[in-house]
Amino acid sequence: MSVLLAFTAATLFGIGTYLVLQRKLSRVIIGVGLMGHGANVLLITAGRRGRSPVLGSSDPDGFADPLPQALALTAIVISFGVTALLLALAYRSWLLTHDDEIADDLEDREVARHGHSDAELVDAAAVEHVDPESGPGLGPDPGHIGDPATDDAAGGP
Amino acid sequence: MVITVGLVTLVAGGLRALRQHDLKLLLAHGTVSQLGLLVTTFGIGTPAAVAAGSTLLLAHGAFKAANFLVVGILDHELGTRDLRRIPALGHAWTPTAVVTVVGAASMAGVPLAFGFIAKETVLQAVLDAGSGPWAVALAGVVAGSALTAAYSARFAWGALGRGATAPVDLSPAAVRPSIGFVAPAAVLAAVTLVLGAVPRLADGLLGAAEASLHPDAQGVHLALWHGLGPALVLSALAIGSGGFLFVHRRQVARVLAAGRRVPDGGHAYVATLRGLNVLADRVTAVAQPGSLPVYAGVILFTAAALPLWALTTGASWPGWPELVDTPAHLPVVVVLLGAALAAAVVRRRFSSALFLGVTGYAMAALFVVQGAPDLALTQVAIETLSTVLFVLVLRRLPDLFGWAGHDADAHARPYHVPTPEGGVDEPHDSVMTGRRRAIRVAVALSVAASVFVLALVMAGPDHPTTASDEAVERAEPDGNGRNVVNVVLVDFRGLDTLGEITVLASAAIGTVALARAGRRPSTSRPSGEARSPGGAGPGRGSPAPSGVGGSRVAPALRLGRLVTLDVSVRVVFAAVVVGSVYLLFAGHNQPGGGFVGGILAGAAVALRYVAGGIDDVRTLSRSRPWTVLGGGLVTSVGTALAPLLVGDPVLSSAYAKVDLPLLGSVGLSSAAVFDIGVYLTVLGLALMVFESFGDDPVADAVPDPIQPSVIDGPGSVPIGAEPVDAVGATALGQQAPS
Repeated sequence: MSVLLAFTAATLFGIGTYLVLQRKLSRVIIGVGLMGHGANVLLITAGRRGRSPVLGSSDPDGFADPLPQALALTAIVISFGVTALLLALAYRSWLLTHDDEIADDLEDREVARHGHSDAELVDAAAVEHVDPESGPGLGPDPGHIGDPATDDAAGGP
Repeated sequence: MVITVGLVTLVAGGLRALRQHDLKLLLAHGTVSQLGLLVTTFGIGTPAAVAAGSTLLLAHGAFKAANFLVVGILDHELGTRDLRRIPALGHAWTPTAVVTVVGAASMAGVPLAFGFIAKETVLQAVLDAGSGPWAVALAGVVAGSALTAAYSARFAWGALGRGATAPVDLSPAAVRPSIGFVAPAAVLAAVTLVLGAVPRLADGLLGAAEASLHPDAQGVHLALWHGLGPALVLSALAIGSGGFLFVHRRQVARVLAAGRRVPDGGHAYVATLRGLNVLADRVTAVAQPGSLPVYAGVILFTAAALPLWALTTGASWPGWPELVDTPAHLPVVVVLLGAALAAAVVRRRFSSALFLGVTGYAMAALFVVQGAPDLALTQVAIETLSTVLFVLVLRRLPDLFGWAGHDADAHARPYHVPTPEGGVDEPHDSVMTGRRRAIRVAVALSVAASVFVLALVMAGPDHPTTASDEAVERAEPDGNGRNVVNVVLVDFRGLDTLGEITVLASAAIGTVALARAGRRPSTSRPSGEARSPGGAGPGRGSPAPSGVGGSRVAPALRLGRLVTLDVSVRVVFAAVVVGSVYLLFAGHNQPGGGFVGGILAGAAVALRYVAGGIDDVRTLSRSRPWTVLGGGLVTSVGTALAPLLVGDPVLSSAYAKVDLPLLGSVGLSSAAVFDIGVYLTVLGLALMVFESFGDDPVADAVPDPIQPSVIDGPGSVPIGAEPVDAVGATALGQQAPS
């Protein structure tokens, strides 16, 4: 690992991040691809540089580290699968909207703007208006008695 | 704490009970008050207090049950529980009246009722607890008892019909309850009286309760007469005060009316619920804005900032490593970063994808420099395949990133979903654009900084490479392979690889599902093409490629196919497939392996696609793409599980040397079979991808707007304006765009 390669990995990640934060799915896919490259640079440079680790071809002491290579190989192939899946998403987006823009979720924005009405809260507010206690001397008020909500409150010793 | 809560409950419940007109509510608040007394008593914690609490519990159970039953009787017979409406009961109700009075007396703690004894023992327990702060507790208990006496009187007074101001229009004698109806309450009242007169009867029961609640239980010895002690005086004081409160009930009621303003549990519940909802709305608004860039930004920034903080504060700085490792890196890095930057800034989708491909090839070069030929091979094959994939999808999408001249940042919607905010949102967004870009740049820079620091810290000290060294040492004896990377992949870390190809298979299935889901209705296209799988696909007798003769499209249109290209592709295809198989089998000992082989085979398929379209790809094999994919996965999993049959751990490898005629000695390794599975899975993925995106874009694009099942834009994209790229026109020339 040299400063140059560290800088390379960092730049790939930076550009990838910038692209992932966009609204066009194709840009996001390219950003993910660049971040994958950055990760591979990190992986491969984590091991020492050397000759290809094939026994019999040269002295094992001069081998490049084989373990990061195996990891990077896995990463490369997985990236391909991810790219294929993301491209399928873009394709689907094209089928539906003829573009690959990721629009905001309208329902989420609506909730964020106006809040969310809750049926239970409305019920509770209705209960609130029925005051089971009426002050003394107010005369008979049978309407309040036998209210189901207050019955529950008074149930059992 | 417990005692305080109990006392407050005791007094508050008593006050509230005094305010009630509904007898049932009166009793309910009385129960709350009594529970407060119970909590107080048990809270004292001495054996005597525990015994007293148990006694109170028993007494309370007897009288309160009787009282509630009385209320039930009244409600059933008279149709009301409001003490202002219960008429004077008269002689016919004598049994009920007796039960009522006994129950109320016990509740008030009048002598000869069991409640009196319970109250006495409680007072005695509080008295014995000590002085100082206990005096407050004693005062509270006495005050609570006074209130209890007052609401007990109020209960009896109301239940007997003495408080009626507007009685119901019923003659109580006519609705007299039957004896059987009163009997349960009468039994409870009798228990109260009997235990009140002969409290010794409860000693055993209460002693058992005390023993189970307190380790130092001393047994319970209840008596009717405890002597003229302070407890008796306090009892009398409580009953007297209660009586006083009852007699002056009108003045008391006026005072208590102020209590209505005190918020009760119902208010608190509703307020809590409302507050919770408002809080949830705010949290949702912040945490779930419904915008993917925001989500991604938060995740990435967190993933960058936290490690950066940990690295800069925690890890010791190893010092700067050498500036440049080897001069060979320089040109590679220049190409790599230049292409990456170009991919980010160009405004055409195709250019961007091609620049991504260039970065991929530069990565391959870097792998070569690092001494990783397997990686370089894989990277080149993957990059080729990826680029073809990008082309397949991007040919559908608009040429430029922006929409109708807008910058990509302003998220003008291409399809006009009716939004409640209408046009109000748009100027807001365009104002925000600059800030959004700044935020994106900031997040990107923080991620880059984090990676940079991570890379430098990683580079610092010399890490031991025991795992790698062991892999090198044991590759030949244990893995029977000389290519260490491949041995690691298919043998030492075979489980990883197994998981990896499972992920690949999932991705492939997802890809096909996503791409084909919207297209299903179009399989019944009435255009009479010969492109249906039955016509051009595996159903045909000869697998020989015959893209020229298989189609019923007019011959003039087929001239779009270049014969030279067609033929040369066929030749190259065979060579590439052989090469991929060679890589597969050679991979164990030389650079290569299942991944590279599979991808190379996929690239060969891509060649065929470029020359002959999806039909040509479908003629390659009788098996469907998913069969290849699943077959590969099954092969690998089967190889991994096979050792279980002979009792070895999963993924154990076997090796055998076989002498074959002509070929000589051939080494057979189970790891090779595993690798064949990997090969097939990767090839299956490539085939699935072509199956997903490879359909004729012209045939697909034209019917879309008139298909009811496809949610369609309002025609803001004129179909004709879409770029029909060279690949689409040449490769899929069976139907020319007219």
